[in-house]
Amino acid sequence: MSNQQLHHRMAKVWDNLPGWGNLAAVNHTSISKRFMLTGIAFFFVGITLAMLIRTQLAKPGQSLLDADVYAQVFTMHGTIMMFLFAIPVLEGAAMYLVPKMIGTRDLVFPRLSAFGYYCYLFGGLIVLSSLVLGIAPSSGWFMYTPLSGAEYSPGPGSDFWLLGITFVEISAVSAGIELTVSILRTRAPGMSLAKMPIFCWYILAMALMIVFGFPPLILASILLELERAAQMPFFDPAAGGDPLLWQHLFWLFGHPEVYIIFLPAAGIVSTILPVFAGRPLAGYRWLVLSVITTGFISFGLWVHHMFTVGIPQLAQAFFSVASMLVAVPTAIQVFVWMATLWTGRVRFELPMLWICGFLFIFVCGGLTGVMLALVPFDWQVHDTHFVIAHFHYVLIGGMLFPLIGALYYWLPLLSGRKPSMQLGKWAFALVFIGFNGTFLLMHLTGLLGMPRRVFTYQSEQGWDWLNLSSSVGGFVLATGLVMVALDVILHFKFGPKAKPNPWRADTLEWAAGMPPLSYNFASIPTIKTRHPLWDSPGLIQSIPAGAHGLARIEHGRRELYGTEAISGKLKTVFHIPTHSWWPLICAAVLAGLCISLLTRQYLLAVGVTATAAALLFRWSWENGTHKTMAPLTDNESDSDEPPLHSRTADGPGLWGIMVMLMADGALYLSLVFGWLYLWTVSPNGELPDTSSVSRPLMLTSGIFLTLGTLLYRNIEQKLRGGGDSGFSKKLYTVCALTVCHLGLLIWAMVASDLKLTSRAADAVMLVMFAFLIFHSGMSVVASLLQTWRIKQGHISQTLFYEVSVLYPLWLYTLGIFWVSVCSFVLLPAWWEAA
Amino acid sequence: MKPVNYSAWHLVTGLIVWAVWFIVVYAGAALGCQWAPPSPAAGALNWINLTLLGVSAVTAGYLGYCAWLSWQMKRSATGHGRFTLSLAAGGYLAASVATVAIALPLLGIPPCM
Repeated sequence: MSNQQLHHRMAKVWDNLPGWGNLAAVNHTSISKRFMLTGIAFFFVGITLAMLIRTQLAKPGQSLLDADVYAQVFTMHGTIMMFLFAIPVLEGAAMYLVPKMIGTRDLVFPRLSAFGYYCYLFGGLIVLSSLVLGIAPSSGWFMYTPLSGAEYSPGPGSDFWLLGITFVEISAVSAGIELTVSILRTRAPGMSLAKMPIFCWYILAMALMIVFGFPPLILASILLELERAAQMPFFDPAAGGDPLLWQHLFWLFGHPEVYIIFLPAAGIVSTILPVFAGRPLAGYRWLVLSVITTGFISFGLWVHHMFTVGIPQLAQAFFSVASMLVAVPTAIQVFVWMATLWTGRVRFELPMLWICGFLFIFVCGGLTGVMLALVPFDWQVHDTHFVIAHFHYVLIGGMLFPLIGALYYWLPLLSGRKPSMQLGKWAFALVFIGFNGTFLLMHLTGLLGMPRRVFTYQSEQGWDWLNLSSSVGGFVLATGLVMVALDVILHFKFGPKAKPNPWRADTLEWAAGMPPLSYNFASIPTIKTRHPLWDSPGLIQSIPAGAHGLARIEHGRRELYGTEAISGKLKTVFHIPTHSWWPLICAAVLAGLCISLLTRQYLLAVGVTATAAALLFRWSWENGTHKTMAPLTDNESDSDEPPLHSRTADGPGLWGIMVMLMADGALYLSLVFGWLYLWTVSPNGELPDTSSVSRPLMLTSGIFLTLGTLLYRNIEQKLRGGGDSGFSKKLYTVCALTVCHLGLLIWAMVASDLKLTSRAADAVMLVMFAFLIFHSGMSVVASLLQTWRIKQGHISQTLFYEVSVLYPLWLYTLGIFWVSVCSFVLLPAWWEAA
Repeated sequence: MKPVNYSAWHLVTGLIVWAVWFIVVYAGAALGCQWAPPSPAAGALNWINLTLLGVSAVTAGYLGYCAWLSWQMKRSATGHGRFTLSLAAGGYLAASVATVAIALPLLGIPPCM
């Protein structure tokens, strides 16, 4: 086959549908660009709100915005920038670059990418619509209770935030799962962890942090929405709840989120900087170690946002030390970057200006972070403009500067053209000067005592010139950002054509075409070094010539290499879905659910939920040997490539479900934390009375579930061991046992005398029941679908991959059941007896 | 059996142990104060702090031992094993240092005030 024929056939399989069919696109290049463009659109809305804030505060006693509108504006500014801009844009950048850097053609769950995008888009539009309607949330971006509760925020603003942002978080978690599995399982053959591009280490850490960090906020949002809509008093001290529980759950997410934002940006720096220094990173292993350490320690800092709420001094000291410790791995990264620059021959091209800006601003922000980690200092400046200045130094310095540097660096990849150095320099100067003009002085405003979130102030307080200067700086900053946007738009028309690999980079994305092809690589090379394009520059020609692996496309499937997670050894071929309407349809129905909950149409919400569940299961039907995926053929063993994953016991779905269960487990552990917290720490907390929950019913229910799970395990192991002719009947038995378990569990819940609106512990107990019922129900329905798939020939004694995929879910369901029985039912009784 | 081998899990095992220790110490102090709070006037060396210091010393010692062992094994390892063990040694050492640093306040601050 000629080169042209190969590319024609590849494009036929991988290109999006034309016209409206683009809405069914699942390709990572298309989806990630949508993430980034949508994020940038939200960013400019956020900037507009920031300019309103700065105009209002420019002079004392201004009346441009009244107190209520001002509260809506600052809440939406924070919400948009954190949830609708920073995370999605970085995820979009990661989704765009990671497959290209690791030498694969797409992410491993393309439909999940598209679903995540639509959840983000619809969730973002729902949140934004509240601003247009003048009923936006106004309790601040961290929505502290009781201010965000029904009593003090009776309008729908808080509901918009809770439901819309939860919707957006589904998108973030799905991207986290997607990126984790893709990085671990689809690297080009030979690309061991030690040879992986440093950017992918950062993204792997970020993805796993999303998986563990977002669920606490998802739980908190569900609890607060239940409190607002159904009067379940999770955060009401009068009923044994505690507003501080919200703060704990929020910051359990919120502090790691700072690093979720920072790490990918630092990954950009670690990728770009060696290219312009003309040498490899000075300490690759040091950086990897720093990234891993930062990822963990960042989960032990959340209480430093709560130093002023009355937490015991010893606990404050733990978190104070941990907050200072996290500066160590961050400092290691800074020293590695400096050593790389020091020992290299640096070229100061446009992206490097932004990297230098990042180094200066982020180090300043890091230093004020260490100051804030000191409890007495934090007490002095808590909730003042000093804190605002600090986190803008960290977030704009730590994220926006590298992001713009990345934009300029990868622009030739996106468009095939280089940006304008002249306009770019001016934009950088305006942004750098404007940023420091705005926020450097704001430290002083805070030290002089100006609290955040006040809509005006009086002249005699001495903050006039500082605020005016900050406002002028803010407009200079905004002008610079508009200039960046202008430069980027103009470059598509006037930018000079870029040569292949224009910056002389070492990573594989520059071999994917400029702009990249829909399939990235016509053939997949074996990787022997950490710097493939420096050591084998010929890859830029040999990859599109089809000289490497997986170059056959006659079968018409979208295929990736599946490699071993550590060594990068080639194991299987992953066949992935082509374009699909299911992501859009399912996300649209879930948006309908969101709107029905917002409008309190609960009966409608039940119907929409059932529809969404049916559609999601229908989506899952198109897998394995389904005709739209990889149907069985007569010549399965003729290929010279490794076997298709659905013909083995190890594929992306198995890894996907395990990472998904990690996220689910984080949500469940947050629930257990809430239960124990309300019991032991809440001001009116007392030993929960669980005597109304029937222990015999719970134990019998658990026995049925245990038997069902053991039988499922037996089926899975026998199939792995060579076959089990009676596994179809056994699967029916598993379902029957679990239905008995479910019936008893629901009976135990209904029969217990839970005081849902007057006792916080009982309300948490109900959430626990709902959680267990959801998981058991999902396991049963999924297994029943498997019995159906057996009849259709998609599962058999030799095609048992799907049985293995579901096995971790069964184990998990069993695990959470018994942990719940012990911690929710038996532990309080045991404690009382002791 | 040696607590360290060539598995990539050791890239994160040290920090997972640290995370569990952190939860035990934070929750342990809260539960101890709920169950039998010592008087703040009695100072920092009470049953809660001493118990938590003991747990911390054992944890930090174990992590330090694993760091040393990883480093020793790394010397004779090649390829992926060498990469994994050098990072594992760093991870264990970082976890050990973090344990010691965060446990230091137990020497000076009473738990229930």
